[in-house]
Amino acid sequence: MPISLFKRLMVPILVLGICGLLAMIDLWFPWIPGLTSLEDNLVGWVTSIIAFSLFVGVTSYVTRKIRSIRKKEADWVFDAWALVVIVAVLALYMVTGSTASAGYQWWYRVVYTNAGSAMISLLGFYVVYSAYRSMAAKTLEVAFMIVAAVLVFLTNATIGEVIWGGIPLIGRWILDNPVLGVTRAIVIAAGISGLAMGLRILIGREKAVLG
Amino acid sequence: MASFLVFPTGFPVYINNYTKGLYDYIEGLPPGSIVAVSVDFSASAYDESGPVLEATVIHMFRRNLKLVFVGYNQDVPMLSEKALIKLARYTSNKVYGEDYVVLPYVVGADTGLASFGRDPHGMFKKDYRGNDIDKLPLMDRVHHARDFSLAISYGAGQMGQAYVRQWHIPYGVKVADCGSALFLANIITDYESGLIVGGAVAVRGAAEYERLIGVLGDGTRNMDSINASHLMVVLAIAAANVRFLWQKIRQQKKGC
Repeated sequence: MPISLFKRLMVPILVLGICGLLAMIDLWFPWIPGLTSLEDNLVGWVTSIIAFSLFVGVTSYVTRKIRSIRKKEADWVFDAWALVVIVAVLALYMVTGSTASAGYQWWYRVVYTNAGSAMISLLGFYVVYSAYRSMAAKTLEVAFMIVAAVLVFLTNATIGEVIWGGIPLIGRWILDNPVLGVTRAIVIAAGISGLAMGLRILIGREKAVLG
Repeated sequence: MASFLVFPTGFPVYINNYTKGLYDYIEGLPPGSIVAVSVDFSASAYDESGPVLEATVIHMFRRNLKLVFVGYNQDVPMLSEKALIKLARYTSNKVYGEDYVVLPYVVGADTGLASFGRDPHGMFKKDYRGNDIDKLPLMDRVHHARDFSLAISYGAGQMGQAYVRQWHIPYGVKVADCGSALFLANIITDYESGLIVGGAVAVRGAAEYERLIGVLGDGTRNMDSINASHLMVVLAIAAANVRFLWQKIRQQKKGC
């Protein structure tokens, strides 16, 4: 086996397997001396790596935007605006010295939160439009699904009880019986699948996680 | 539909068992118990998850519980401060550092949660406001996940289940999941299985909780807009089926 292939496949598999085994052994045998502190260090490293990946993400995003502006790609004006906002927020942070400062908090509360809420609110109109476009009862199965959806929908809104007192009763029955049973089945199946996947990663049979 | 917003309806709110479960658990906690308030949603979800956060924080402050605001989204500290500013009249007799603390956000979801649970002081040296956490009296009582009597996740994602995995199963910490309406089925499943003590779900949950604690807040007020939007979707579905039937009848007539 060439050394490059060994490095590319076996080293990551060994690292994955050893780290995974250490985490599992620590959970079952926490009394083994030094194991818990080693496991704590491993978890700390993971957190640090994820924190660093955020920095990589921002760098990559800014680089991508700059490239788009230089090449005058489609919608480059929006990319330029995104960069302006990034620089402005960074400048606000540098000037005020902390995200806990009154200036930064004001920007966050007055501009960012409201802009975010406005964006999410627009989705409501898409939901209504897509309901109109797609929820026609073309078959018996679809008709059942639509009736169940409408009943649960009106159960979660208080107006359902005002329209007819039976709506929340039927809606609750749907949630507490068929939905509960199916969700449990999905959760249990996902748990068993996760266990199998974890085992495959630990013994090096699963290579998709290596990219 | 806009009339719902102009003229409040005040429709009655039925209280679900999982909302009552959370209320009862908080009622049963001895004063001084420490609660992890995990704000796991982003700014855009404040209108959905914020009212639940505010209603439960009011209740916990009334019960003289000690709150540690933490979370796994970069917006966490700012959203915690926003909620605290909105609830200023309930926090006027509370002392920062003794009754509540706002920590910076934790990166890494499950891994970050496990790391924070094992060693909070190792993860954070300073709180969000720049204070040394070793000098905060409340944080002096927090050295492990086991020091929390309850962890409540307010989230647009599934951090409530991460708390179950990382805090409840290994350490026995009680968990409540105040997730968004999207995860209602999962929350009911976890509650019925005994994995969580309860949870108030989205605006409806906030309205229920506000009724339980006798407060008129954003949950109750926003129920009218929830009613209006839900009714709009139901009317859209009805219109879609009328259109479909109309088209079918026309096709049959042409066929004849």
